[in-house]
Amino acid sequence: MTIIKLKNISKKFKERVVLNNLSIEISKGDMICIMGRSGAGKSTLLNILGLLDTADSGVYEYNNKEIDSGNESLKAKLRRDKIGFVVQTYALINQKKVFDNIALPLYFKRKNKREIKQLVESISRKIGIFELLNKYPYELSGGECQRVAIARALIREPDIILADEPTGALDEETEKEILTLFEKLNKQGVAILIVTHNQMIADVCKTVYLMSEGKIAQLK
Amino acid sequence: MILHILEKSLNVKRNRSYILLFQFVITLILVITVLNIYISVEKSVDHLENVTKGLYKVNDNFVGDSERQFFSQTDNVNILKKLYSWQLSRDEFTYIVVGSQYFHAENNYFPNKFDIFYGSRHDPVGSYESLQVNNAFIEHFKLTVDEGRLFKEEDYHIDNEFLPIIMGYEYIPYSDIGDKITVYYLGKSFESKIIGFLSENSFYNDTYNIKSLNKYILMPALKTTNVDSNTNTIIDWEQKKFELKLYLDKCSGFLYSEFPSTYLQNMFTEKSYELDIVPYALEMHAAFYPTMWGLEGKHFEKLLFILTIIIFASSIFCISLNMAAKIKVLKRYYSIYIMNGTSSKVIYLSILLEILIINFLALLIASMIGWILYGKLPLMPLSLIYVITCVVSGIYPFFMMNKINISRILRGDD
Ligand SMILES: Nc1ncnc2c1ncn2[C@@H]1O[C@H](COP(=O)(O)OP(=O)(O)OP(=O)(O)O)[C@@H](O)[C@H]1O
Ligand SMILES: [Mg+2]
Repeated sequence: MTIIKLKNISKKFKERVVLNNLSIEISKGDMICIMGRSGAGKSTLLNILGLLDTADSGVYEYNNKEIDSGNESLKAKLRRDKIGFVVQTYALINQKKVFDNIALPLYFKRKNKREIKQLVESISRKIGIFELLNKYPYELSGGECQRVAIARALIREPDIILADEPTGALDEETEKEILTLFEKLNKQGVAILIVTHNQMIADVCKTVYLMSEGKIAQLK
Repeated sequence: MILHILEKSLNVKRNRSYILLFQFVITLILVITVLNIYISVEKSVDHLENVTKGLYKVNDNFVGDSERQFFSQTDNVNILKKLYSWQLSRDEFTYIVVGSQYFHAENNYFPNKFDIFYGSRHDPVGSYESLQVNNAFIEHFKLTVDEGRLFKEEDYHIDNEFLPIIMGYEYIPYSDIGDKITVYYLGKSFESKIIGFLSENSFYNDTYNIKSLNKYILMPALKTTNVDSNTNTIIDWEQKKFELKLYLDKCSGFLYSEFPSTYLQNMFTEKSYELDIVPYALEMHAAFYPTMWGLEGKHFEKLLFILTIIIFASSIFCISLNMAAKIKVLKRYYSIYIMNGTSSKVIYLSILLEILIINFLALLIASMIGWILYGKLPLMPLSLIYVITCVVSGIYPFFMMNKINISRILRGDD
């Protein structure tokens, strides 16, 4: 079952063509890796997939329905309920406790307190960060921060997690742990797309794309 | 959702919010202050223009022999009465009685500073500046009382038990409403009674000067119709002597008219000939404007207006800068919010709401301070300024929000 389908996407920044008539399809159960030189346009592609950015031309389909790029509230709703985003810098709010960081998408959804508490606790148990819930992000290690970010991505019960160099700032040991976590989530049915420079991650993924000159080519 | 973001934005950079609030308050207080000056200047400019334009002094021309002859005939009072009632009845102008004669009270009733002769020529003699006035005078110079009341219709009758008088503002510490004073006016004694005190800074235009009424005593322009019928006794003679002086005083008042001066003068000349007296002459009042910093009336108003706009514009500029700085700090959070399911539109709305709330708080605080400082508020301009401030300070954040580059921020570059 297709989750996201991009058809003939192009994107320019000023005169520089970053995505050139690119098409990609992500289905349920996929575990995809995208590699490529720095500046190849990987993050740009990921942002378009995650509805944080808009392509200049081409079609974006979610669950086989075309999403109008001007429909901001629908896009916000998909980001809130369906698409989890994980980035290299974690993107956590330092002034808020881990608990509130994880619960953020639920706050936007206006769930009641009890429900939120239950969900946050069960997710954090699953990921092994239950003890951290009352701490602040600046008190955590990089690996712990990334787990919190992943927990936040998971709390909305997403169809897909988009991860932009999620282990870029972590040591090898932690990197393995995070990767194992992704594999586990994938087995539970969440589609995962990871942008990385790391061969080890590519080895684990079922599908690998190489990106260059605004296009992608499947390696595996 | 908006509220969640709003709470966040207010909490995360709390001192920024306080600075914003402070800026709004200062702006509004400055605006209130300048507007207050502006409004009071405008009012006094208007008022001064009003008490000058179209105002004439009516002068009698009794001099030398003609004067002596005229006053030896006490029956001439009837001529003056005719002139007086003619003056009151004309539609071409409003006749204002401004009779300026001394009031004399025994035993230096009031402190020396009120005595006209004290310090200049003599020891204090108990003479005080007074005006006999009619209602037209009170209306034209917009007189109000600080305490008590103004003259009523029945106060103008001469045979009242008491002569009602209204005291200038400075008399307040030395007398009370209801005080009874024996006074001499044009050689006749009256039992007078204080019925009111003028508001501070009451004034009138005496043809050449703006005169404060703070040290004046006002009495009603007395009607003496009831003595007309009797003629030949001694008492009548005394009475007529008094009336002659009284009416001479009454007839040389002011008139207010929109007719050209030559036309008015012709009316008076004609009437004088008809009554067989030396023609009364009209004299125009001198114009006065308040001056400040060497600027006169309207120019000063203009300056204040420009000043208000400059203060307002620079404050808006500062507020926008501060708002921008706040957004710059918060835009990482905004990116995180957007990544987790809000839209930039919602975030912008929350920023607007924040501006609205802070500005409203500032409005309340500034209004309170303004009220304490000035006792009144320019409500219309203030609400207009509130709306403009909200709108204008919402423009810059709007452009900032549109420029937020989420991917760079999340990458940590921005
Ligand atoms: N908002 C932007 N405005 C202008 N140019 C941009 C913007 N975002 C990306 N670019 C440019 O587009 C190109 C692709 O950027 P992108 O971030 O997608 O590369 P990447 O493949 O993710 O690189 P890296 O591996 O270093 O993360 C780069 O040349 C970058 O400078
Ligand atoms: Mg990148």
